[in-house]
Amino acid sequence: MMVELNISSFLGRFHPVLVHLPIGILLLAFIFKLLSFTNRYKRLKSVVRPSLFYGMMSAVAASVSGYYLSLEGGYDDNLITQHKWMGFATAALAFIVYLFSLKVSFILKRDRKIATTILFFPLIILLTWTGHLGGSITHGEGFLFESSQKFANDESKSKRISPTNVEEAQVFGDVIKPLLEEKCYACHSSRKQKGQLRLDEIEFIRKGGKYGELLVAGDPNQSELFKRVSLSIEEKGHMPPGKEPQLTSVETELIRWWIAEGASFDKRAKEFLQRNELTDYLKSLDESTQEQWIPEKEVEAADPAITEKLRSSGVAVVPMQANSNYLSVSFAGKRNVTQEDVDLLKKLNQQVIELKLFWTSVSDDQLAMLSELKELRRLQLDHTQITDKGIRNLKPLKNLYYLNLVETKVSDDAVNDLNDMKGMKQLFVFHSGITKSGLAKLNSQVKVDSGNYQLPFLPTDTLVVRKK
Amino acid sequence: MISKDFSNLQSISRRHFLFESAAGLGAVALGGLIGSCSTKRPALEMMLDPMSPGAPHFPGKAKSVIYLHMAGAPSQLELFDYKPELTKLHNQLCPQSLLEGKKFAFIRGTPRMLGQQAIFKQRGDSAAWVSDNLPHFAGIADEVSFLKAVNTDQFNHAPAQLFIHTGSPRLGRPSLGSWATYGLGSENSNLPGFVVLTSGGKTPDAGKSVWGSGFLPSVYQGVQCRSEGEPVLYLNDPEGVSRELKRKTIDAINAVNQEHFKEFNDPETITRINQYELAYRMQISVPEVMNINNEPAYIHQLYGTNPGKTSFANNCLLARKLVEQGVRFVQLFDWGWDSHGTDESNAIDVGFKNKCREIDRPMTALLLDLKQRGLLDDTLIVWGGEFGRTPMQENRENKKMPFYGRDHHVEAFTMWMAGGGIKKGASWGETDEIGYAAVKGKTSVHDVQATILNQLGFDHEKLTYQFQGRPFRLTDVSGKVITEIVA
Repeated sequence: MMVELNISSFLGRFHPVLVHLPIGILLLAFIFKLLSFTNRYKRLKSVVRPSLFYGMMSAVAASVSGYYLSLEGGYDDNLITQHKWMGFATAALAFIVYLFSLKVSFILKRDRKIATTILFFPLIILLTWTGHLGGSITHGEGFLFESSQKFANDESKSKRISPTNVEEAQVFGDVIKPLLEEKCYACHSSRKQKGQLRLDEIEFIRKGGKYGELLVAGDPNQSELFKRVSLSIEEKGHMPPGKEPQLTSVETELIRWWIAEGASFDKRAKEFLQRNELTDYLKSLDESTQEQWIPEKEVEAADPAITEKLRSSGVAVVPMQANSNYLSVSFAGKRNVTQEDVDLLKKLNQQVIELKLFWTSVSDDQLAMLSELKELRRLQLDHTQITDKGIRNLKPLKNLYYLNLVETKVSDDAVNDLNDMKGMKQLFVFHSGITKSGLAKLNSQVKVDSGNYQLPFLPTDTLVVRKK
Repeated sequence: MISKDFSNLQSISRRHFLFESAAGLGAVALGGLIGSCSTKRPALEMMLDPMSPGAPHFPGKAKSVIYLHMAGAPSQLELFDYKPELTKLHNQLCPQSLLEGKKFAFIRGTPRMLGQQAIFKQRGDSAAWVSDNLPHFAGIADEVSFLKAVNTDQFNHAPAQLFIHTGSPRLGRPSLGSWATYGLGSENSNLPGFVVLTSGGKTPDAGKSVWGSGFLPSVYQGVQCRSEGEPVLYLNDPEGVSRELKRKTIDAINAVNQEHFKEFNDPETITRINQYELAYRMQISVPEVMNINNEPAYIHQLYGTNPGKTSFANNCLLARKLVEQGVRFVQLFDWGWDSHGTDESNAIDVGFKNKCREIDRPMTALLLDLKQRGLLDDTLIVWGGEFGRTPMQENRENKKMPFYGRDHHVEAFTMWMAGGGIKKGASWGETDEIGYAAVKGKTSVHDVQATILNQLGFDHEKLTYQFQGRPFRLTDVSGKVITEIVA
């Protein structure tokens, strides 16, 4: 018995290889059949039958091995059943088509010919559908449209609740479930049921899996769900498995909190007395989604001749990241900004998003020309000669959000112009001409650092401790 | 003329064409392979100009790093890790369970516990514990993230320093700063990309290997600058050699090298030419950036600097000046933290307190100064020693020591990071009641390194260098970014 079982499951393992044969061979037979209607490929008629035969045989082999594989379980039952019967049907239909192609005396030759041709179409459809179901089993349902679905998921992620509307959020549905979906569903949902566990419906979660009780309301340490995720990664039974994306510590804490607070499926956030863990988790979501300041819009690569020219004059021109065409330009190694540099930079107006002109000779007039760099987000002008006029020249830069004016002559008169730059978020004005009264008039969304930090003198600063 | 062109064309047969195309394809594939196993910088460009700036794997929050290494390993138990329980156990014999199977550098037999020799308070909104040994730093505790359970496996200074800076306790691996400049190059072609500054009277026990480039090309090794006397040794011209004469000399050497390059096409020749040019530029730029005499009085007040001397304060100010000029990695070593209690200068309640005073104001000033210059968001500051110190009192040769001291401790110690995309006011990791071992959020030296590279925009598993037939990386085969402190 034991031996037989092993052989059958061993045979089953050949299914993933064998399935490709009927798909290829039967499709080829179909193509030969169609081609044989043309004058040019008339002769192909004679190969339709043998290819049909081998296609049919491979379909049978795939079905048999598939049947053995299905006995092992671990896949979505529903999909398996469908795939199994469709597979058998495909093999059977292939056999029938093959029969019609044989020279059977009691059927008219013409009828046989028509029957074979017509039956070929449902065969190909069946074949395709079976293949698709097989794909869904191994790669997960919706695999075919995953990229577009992922996109949709990203959209829904951004709609996720933030700490401000947390009160009304349903903790399980809005927070816990999306987390489970992200980190657990690959193996514990309709796609696969490793350990006979599904987490995609409340009833399945209540039912639990093969090992222990999934949720013990109020006691995370007795709950399999928390036990598994809180094991250290080296330990056996740790979830998610080593190579999969892991839960962060905030996420683990969230699970612990939810179970400790009763593992409720319908409570709203405001009904929880203590919810620091929830706030922490939502905050972490918020942080991971922001701060992507490279534009999403694609841009074509800068002309290498221009970047090379800048580089050879001592200017650092660097892509923001590997495979990005957006550039960061730094004059750290070249203090003298020439007209030629400005002309070259203007040609990079689509690509440059960061420009470091600190400690350079850059002038107000040059800034007027550089305001053509429409994509510019960060601009460092500290320790330069620029004045209010230079700031006025920067007004067309709608994307600018970081501006460093430390040690410049920019004064309070520039505040109105700075306010016109709607994207502005971070401003550094230490040792510039901008005073407190000027800062008071600045838009409130701008975070300003006016510096001038001092450390008091403490008695301990000069106290030398000696042996007691 | 025409006939010559024609015969040229004729010589390219179909066979020739196919062969060339196949070889071309192979070259393209090879280029791809080479490209995929190191940084994303073009291989040829890196060979010709190894310090040319390059792109990280993803946009890094930090453009530069200032690493403040307290060589000798400061006591976390007198600075950040508040353990009232330990103070209650003061002078009691250490339980055997803490000693069994453990190795210490000097502790023998059964030592006594040593209560905390500092007064702790919670500071700022983050309520981080900082002792009164760092009164200035206590005021900016909300700006930094603490790692309170860093773990190492080396209990002697030299290997532990190598481990934390090169990812391996043995010699031969590139240091953090070398990896950073190998990956990102330098923005300022007039200054070295990786500068090392030391204070405290001694260089680290592990010697210059802690800023060495290991198997990476030697252009990536740290350049040690001195805050006293000539900043870079042997960079100045000998007496009687004018700048013009120097220029002429270099021009002549470069001309010869150019000839040599034309003949042999060896890219190393170009590197050589570039090195001469860099050295020539550095003769002007380095003395300029290393001169703190011209800094305004308020800056000297802030840092507590004293020009013309070697001090941690001067080095902090220099670090700011260097980062401001686009230097990628500034490594500070401050020697004198090895508080064994063998004499007054390394007693935990005497010399240690004086060391704390030496760093408290400068490192606080560094953070604040970077902040007011708009550079803190771009600059990652890392502070730490090579390991921690024991909750037990050291009893060298199983005798009572003349002063309070603590032995080397590998199980858990505190580091902090700030700026460069690190959370403000966070803390990760906890130790047990007496600060002996981690109970939560244990992090390794490789985790710290992975996090530093992550802040610079690198996947620590992908920043590799092919050496001896396999790709090497800073974090060897482990390391995990400590996301808990990453903003």
